[in-house]
Amino acid sequence: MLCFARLIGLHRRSILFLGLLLGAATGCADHMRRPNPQPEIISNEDVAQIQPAVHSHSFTMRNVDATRQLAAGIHDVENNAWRWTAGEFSIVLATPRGASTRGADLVFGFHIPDAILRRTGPVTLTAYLNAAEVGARTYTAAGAQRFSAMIPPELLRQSPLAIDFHLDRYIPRGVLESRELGVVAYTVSLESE
Amino acid sequence: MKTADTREEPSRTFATAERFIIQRCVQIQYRVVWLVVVLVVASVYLWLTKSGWARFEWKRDLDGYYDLLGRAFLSGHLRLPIEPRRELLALANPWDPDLNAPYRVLDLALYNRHYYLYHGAAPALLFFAPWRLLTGHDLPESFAVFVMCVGGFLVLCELLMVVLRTLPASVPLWLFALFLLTLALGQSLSNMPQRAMFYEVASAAGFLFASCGFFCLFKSFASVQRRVTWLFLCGLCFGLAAGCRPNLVFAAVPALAVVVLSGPRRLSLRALLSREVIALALPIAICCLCVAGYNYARFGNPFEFGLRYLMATASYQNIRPTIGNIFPSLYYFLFCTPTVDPVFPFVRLAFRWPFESIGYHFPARFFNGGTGGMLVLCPLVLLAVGPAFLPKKMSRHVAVTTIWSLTAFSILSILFVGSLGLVSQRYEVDFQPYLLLAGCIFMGLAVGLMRGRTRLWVQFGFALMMAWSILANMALAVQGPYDQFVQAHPESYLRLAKWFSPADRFRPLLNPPLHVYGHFYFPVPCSPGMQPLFSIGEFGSRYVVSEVCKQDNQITIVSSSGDPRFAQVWVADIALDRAGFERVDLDFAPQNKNMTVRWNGRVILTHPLPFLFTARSQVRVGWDATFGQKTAFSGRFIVPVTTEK
Repeated sequence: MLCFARLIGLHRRSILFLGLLLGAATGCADHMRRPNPQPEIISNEDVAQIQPAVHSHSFTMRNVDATRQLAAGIHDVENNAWRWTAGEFSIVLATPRGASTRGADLVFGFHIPDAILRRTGPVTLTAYLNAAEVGARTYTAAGAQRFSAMIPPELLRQSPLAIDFHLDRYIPRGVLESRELGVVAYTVSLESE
Repeated sequence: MKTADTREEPSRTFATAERFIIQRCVQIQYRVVWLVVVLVVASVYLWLTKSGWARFEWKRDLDGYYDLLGRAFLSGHLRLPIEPRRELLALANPWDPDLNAPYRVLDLALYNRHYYLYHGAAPALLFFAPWRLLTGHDLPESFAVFVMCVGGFLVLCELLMVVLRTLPASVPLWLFALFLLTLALGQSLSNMPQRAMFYEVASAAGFLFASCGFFCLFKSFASVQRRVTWLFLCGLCFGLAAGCRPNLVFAAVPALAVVVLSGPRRLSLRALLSREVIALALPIAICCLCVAGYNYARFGNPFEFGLRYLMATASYQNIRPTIGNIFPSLYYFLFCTPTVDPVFPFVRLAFRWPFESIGYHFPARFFNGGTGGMLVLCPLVLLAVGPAFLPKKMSRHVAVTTIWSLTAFSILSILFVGSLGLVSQRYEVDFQPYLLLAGCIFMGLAVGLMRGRTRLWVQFGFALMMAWSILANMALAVQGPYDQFVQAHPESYLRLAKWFSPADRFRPLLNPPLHVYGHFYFPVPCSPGMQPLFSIGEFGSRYVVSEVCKQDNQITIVSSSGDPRFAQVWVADIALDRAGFERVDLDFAPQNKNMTVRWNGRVILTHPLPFLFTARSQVRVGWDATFGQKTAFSGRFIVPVTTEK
């Protein structure tokens, strides 16, 4: 009994600390025992926090920072100005402010070299957003061109957007060079009025 | 005489009596702390044992391999009472893992049309058969592991206490309590109770007997009259340990070396044939002969444990010690870092390449069941070589001799187990407890030699290391080798996890409603291999959707749930009509626990899950981090979020 009293006496601070710790823990436990409401749905908002962010809704092909927005089918930058595309190519764009209420114009600035057009003939460029066609146009002349497609607001309620372009005619790899060649891309943007 | 002295010098006698009472008080204090820690540890081990699938069933026959072996021994057989399937026996080569997979009983040895257990027979002989004989029922393997782990821990505690008593200065009470807690919870032993099967029975029994052996060895140092008796008991324990796990026979090497070198005639023939050496060596030799005879009776070869005839996968069939296995094994046993995660239980085992050298070619037979490096999870084991830095006058101290014996055995054990190319957290029990005990003894020794502020700082440093060891190993223990707690009792696991999860993003949720989606770029032809699209949760509660390229424009969507090694898999084939972004959605409905996968809005797969368990931060699109190995979808993908409500 004496030993026990001595033990208590010697370690009264430790015992007090342990007591406080236990008290706090019990309080926590009480808090934890409260019935939990059904958790809110786990959505892309939770996931996007750890995904690479896409900020730009407009970029030029010479912009190195934009490389991560080029998804597929677009070759390396040349002359610090343009990039060749393949027959199918895809990009990622952020949705501009206000687009979810007013819609936005998808604009693609490019060039069709004469040497390409002579081999392919008229070329039709089609754009898809979320696998749905949003615009198509046929080009019969070589030189600088502009593709434009109005995207309705209901398709622009989220960001970023994946946009696929499809050329019905292009130069397959191995014909002119080892790469597949479509058009020469300069700029792409999504513009909200 | 003492009475006469008392009369003559009453004040001195009074002082002596007071000192005696104080000493007794101090001893009782240490005993009280010991008792409290032992009760806490036994409770934690019991809770860990019951946290997995294990149930203590006392009233019916069980199918644990050691239960079967116990029954076999009682019926006068060495073979297990299981008949191999006819399809297996009809195979041209029944040991071919590619052919026998559907018919085999995993991890048993098939020889002469009978199944045998390749693990040591001592636990069956000493525990399972007697229990069956006395009660008429089988001893649950999980209960046996629990008892052996607690028993081994008690012996280690006792050994630590008797060694600490020989030190020049005592350790503070709080440090002593931390020593005991670290011995129980700060090492891989705590990882065993949750999945306690025949593998763990052999390891736990080996641990119990080897610990008893070292305790007896120490008692033989301290006792003059009963030295031979203690050495005989020590030899018997080491022999029985070898009967559980043959590599534990290496414990005899430092024991014999100590006995021979501590005698008056060092390394002479008379020293080698002294009573002490014979008392130690004889029971070991008898046990080894029994094991050899047991092997001969089963396989016609005293050195064959059954590994040649094992029903197993190619990675660990017919294993033999080779030098080439040692390097990767040492990496996994010593250095392999775990994954540190902000989600409970915060530390997880990771499968890594040795020293992160991706593409390293493993030896032909190498099995990695998942380990955490001992030096990372329990850095105190490094202190086992501490006596090398002590003053020379300390080198013959009995505590130092004990440390060296424990350390030498552990090093031999690491090298031998490593040479087998079998790497698993439970194998660390063959050496880690002894290294840790050696480290604790050294800490006690070092603290006693220091004074003032240095002593305070060193104690603080040791305490920090012990706290880390306990936290990290308890995290792994809660998870267990196969993450069984969350699978067996998700609600209890959730309640526990909430205690430690103040941040909403990292707090686990059970069956939360979920809808996530992404746009993934699929080229035509498709990229080869398997690529993750979504991954949710971790390890035992893991859910993954992957894409596998089948042909040029054909892919398979694979939905997989549970531990990747035993995953439940559902698949759906998709034809790609063009290259481009495709939308893939994932929906979980808590009402029916169905996970639905949609491809561009069309339902392609509905996978019923037992449960969905994840924190928000563990929902990943386009990548997976199973077992710490990050793999990502090789193409572009986006995860759109709503811009304006």
